Amino acid sequence: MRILNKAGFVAIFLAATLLVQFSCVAALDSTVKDVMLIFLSDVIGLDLTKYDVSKVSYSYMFPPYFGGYVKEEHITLDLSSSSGDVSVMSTFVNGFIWVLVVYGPTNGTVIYTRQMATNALDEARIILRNYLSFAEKYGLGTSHVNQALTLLDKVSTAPPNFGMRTFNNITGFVPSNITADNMKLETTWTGAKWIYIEDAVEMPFKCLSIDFGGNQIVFSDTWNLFHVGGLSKFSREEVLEIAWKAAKSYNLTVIGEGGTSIPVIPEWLDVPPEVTLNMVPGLFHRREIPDNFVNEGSAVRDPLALYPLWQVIFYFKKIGGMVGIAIGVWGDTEKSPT
Amino acid sequence: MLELRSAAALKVSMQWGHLAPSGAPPNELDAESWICDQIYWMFYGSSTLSPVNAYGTYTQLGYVVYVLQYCQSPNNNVDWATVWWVGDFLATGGNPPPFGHLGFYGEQGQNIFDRDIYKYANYYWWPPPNSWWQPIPSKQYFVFIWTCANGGPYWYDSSGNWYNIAGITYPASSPFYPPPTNTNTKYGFFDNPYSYPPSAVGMPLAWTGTAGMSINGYNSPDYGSYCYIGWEAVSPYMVNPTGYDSLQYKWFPYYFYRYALGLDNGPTHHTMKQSLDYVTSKILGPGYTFGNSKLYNGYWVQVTGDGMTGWWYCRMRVFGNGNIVLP
Repeated sequence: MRILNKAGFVAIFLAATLLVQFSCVAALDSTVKDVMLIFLSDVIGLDLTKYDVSKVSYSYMFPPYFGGYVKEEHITLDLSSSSGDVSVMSTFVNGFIWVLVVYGPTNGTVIYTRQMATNALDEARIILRNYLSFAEKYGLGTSHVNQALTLLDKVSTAPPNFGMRTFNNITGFVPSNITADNMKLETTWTGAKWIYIEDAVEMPFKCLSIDFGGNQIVFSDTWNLFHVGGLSKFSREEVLEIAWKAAKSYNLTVIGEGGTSIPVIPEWLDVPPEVTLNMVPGLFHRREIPDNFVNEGSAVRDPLALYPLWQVIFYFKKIGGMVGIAIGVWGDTEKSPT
Repeated sequence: MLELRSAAALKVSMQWGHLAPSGAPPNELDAESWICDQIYWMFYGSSTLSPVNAYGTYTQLGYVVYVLQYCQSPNNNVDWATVWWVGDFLATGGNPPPFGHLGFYGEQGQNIFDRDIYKYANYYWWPPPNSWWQPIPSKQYFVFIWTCANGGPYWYDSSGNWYNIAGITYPASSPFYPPPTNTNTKYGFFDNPYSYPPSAVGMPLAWTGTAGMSINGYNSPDYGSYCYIGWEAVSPYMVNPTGYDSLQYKWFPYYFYRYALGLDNGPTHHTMKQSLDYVTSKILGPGYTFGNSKLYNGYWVQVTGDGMTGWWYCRMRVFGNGNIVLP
């Protein structure tokens, strides 16, 4: 019998102690539904006069992962026309577009107020230029959009028939990575993402992005939703040392027959550990139903600020379904967490 | 006791799952049990589907057969059923290649294989004096399987011929780029089509009874009634960190079902496709949808220490119609 097991990790997160002040950025006074329709019309370019709006679903919450006071709004709707139906799904956080997806019709075409570009590069330029006016009107900030447009000039268009499915069959981008000042532009065959970067640390939660992959357009702008709560006070080497100490001292168990916990001693593999630094929103680990996955210690963090959370994976010879241990280390502590 | 909430229920939502007898990381059992419980209560309050949580002890062949036959019985008026299954995968190995028959671990060795699922999800056994397997189209319209390997196309024709692809059907010695393209296009076939009922290989075929679903039900959904989501190669444990933030994978099904059932976003039930996009952006961060994430595009996972040692290219697959909604 051959068994293909899952590759699992044991995960530990270490605590941090740091005091910060909360902040709250607000934008968009109008209702999200109205704003979304304006976005679809003025930024994406849909001709809403040709569509009937239906199946509008709206809700909002103040989730614990944003500290309980940041409004998260969800809206979906359908746009119906004789040329085919378009549906839209979106999430707004504090008025900023966390994600907005325009699903093209399965059969039919999208009706525009303008001629849609035939390649993703030109279409992204059009959308960003339109978004400049939109962002200015609704107080979302525009300097990053101008910067994004400048970086886009350094990107190339993929050859026709490049092999990826895209919205309206437009031609994609040539994959690239370009950095200027505090912005890194990553292009894939189908999308572009402008990521905030500081001290060579990328922060994908603070980004602007457009993607045309599949039969959809995905747009997001959280650039001015988040700010930087602090960079890591530890070097990669220091984090490795902290994590290795935690990994070695962890009393590893596996689930045995009947659900019993069996202590095991890992046989560490001579492969380099994987070290990743993620800049994550301060309270992102807090969920509606508490779990103890992340130990936040006595730290007070701003839910709209990004903090350094290292993840280090050490591999060991497979034990049951486990192949390694993942250690999380908050990097914003004054002292080494223990 | 395993018991459907109402004998008059027309729609059924099952939560199944079981770990391998040993070897799971600490807290995985709790996490799997937790998510099944959460999904149970989501259905309980927001859907016309009657939920039954059979995770753990009740996940064994006999109970699975019982529930599938309950759904198939013309006497019970079940017209729609859905399944969430989390746990460990096993395969018989050998023939038919590449993995033999594919299945799930069940309680005390009462494992469940594709051929069992197919037989009981697509036929109804009339006991003596009729003694007849009546073919009835499967009621399992939405199936979400979170185990290794039970969501991949591993063959290219209906005879079970297959392309042997490094990272997909056998482990690669190291990751390579561009990653492998799975040129196999069939997620199941009948290895014994002349038996009655036929013997099926592959869980997507087994649960839905249909061999013609779109193999990209996310980007190219078909117009059929079925949607099946599963993993090609290795699935992460519920307690695994996603790697992007401070969350474990258990939150993926949690928010997926909350959105699909309209619990956080008004009464509207959303499509599988929208729900996948929503949860991906929620779990991985702004700008992500299922379609531009590693879950859809794939990622390398290293497996060590047994016959499957090496690197596997893993992804979540959607078969069928990603535009269906839960009733």
